Amino acid sequence: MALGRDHNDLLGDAIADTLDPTKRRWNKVVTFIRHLLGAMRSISSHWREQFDPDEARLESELARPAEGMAPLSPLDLASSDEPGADRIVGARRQIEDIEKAVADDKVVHDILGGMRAEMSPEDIREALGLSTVEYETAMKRFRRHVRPSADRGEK
Amino acid sequence: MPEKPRDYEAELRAIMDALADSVAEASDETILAEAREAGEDPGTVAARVRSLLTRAVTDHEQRPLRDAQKTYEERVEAIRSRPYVLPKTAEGRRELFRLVVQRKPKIGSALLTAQNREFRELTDEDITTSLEQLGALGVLDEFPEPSGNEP
Repeated sequence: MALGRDHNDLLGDAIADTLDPTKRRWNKVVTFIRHLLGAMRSISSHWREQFDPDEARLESELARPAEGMAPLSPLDLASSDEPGADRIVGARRQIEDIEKAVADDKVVHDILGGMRAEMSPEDIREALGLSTVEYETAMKRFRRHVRPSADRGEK
Repeated sequence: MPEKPRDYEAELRAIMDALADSVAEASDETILAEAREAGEDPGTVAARVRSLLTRAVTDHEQRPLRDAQKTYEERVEAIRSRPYVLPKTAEGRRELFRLVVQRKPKIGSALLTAQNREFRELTDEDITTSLEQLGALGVLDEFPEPSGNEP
């Protein structure tokens, strides 16, 4: 998430934009939740584009090694001229947290693999041979697994 | 050929998008049950979101007021920062005002009310304010600025 802004700001911006017809219209073909979801994705993508990687951060804010891994500092990555090194570190850290949370649930772990590959739910179900009910049940477990780690993270 | 480095950001986005989609697809009952299971009080969460939505709506409704205030402040600042220097003396300012009214009768008639048409009842403050406004509008640009020996 962009510096100084969180999911509440994202939702607030999505509502504010929706109230301004010059910015974003709610196409009533989709539910309001779906509309907000799309708006929040679009706004967060905009924030990402505006993000200034040179903005001052404390190294202690960023570096948090995963269990059993050598500490990885964004300052180590900065020398590679990679833009937004701290964001990459943050994303990697969150993915590791999620992987750890679902490690003992094979079906969910496989679903995670499909999500990372940007497969649709239908494609994932088909690839794993899951019925709709089995998939939805697994997704409930997935959400339960990641919810505590998500609360600790930036989401 | 070297292996392409993992795009952690894209992976995380894909995962979060998929999770968000799964929540959007889930029934209300499922979401409520999951919230309770996670130790959250759906009523408290709903109140928090309602407050957030209300704040966003209020902010939106107050935006014209904020915009108007900003415009007003910018105009005041523009008037203050206008480089035209008015004569230092009240007589000089009155003379400049008389010149403007004489050369720009349309502007003069807009500035002067019927009872003040002879200038006599205009205070120096009235004249100074009018000249400042005329200066901000650029009307005074065609009049010579006062020198050390001002009018």
